[in-house]
Amino acid sequence: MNTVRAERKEDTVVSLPHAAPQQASAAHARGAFVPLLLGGLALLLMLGWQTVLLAGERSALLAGHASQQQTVDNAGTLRAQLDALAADTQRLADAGNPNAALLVAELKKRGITINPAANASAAGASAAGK
Amino acid sequence: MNRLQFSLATALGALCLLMAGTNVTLSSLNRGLQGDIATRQQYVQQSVQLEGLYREIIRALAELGARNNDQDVRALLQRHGISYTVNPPAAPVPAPGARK
Repeated sequence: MNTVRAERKEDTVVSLPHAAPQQASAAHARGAFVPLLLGGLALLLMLGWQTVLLAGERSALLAGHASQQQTVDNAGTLRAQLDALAADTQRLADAGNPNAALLVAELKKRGITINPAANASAAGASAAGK
Repeated sequence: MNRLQFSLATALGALCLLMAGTNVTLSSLNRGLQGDIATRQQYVQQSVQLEGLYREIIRALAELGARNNDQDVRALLQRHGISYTVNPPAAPVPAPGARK
């Protein structure tokens, strides 16, 4: 065992002075630029792909938002009509009309209360709520 | 690293930073838009339920107004663009063996 170690040690000692300067100079010549460039390019590629995906998602969301507009407008119109009708019915009931009062009472039984004042102040707000 | 390599690496890093910022912004904007769309969808779904209530109120008012000949209720509905007609009662069907 001692003989082998001695031989290896001897080999190392013999070979080092010739090989070390060459390896060091080669490493110095390559530098960190290529790995850095590769990593940067990979990161750039990944981020670019993510940007494309996010831009596509945004485009689809904007299209969906725009396609909703007509439905939302119709819903707003319907709510305004309901609010106006409910408020007028409540006013008629307050004025003593028995049919309107009966309807308001039936709605109240179902948990629906009408607030004409809220309807007058905020046109878009719901006056009839469960 | 020579001067050109340094410039190239710096430009690459700046581009990556810019794209990361863009992605964060886009992601945030998309999340906001998704929330907005969900809110509007909920608004529309609630309105569908309210449409049923609206029709019920109109039908009830029309029935009450027609049954009791209530002119105030008829006028109320007309103000909202709704009119109704009362069908005349059906004539009694003569008995099969009846003669004139």
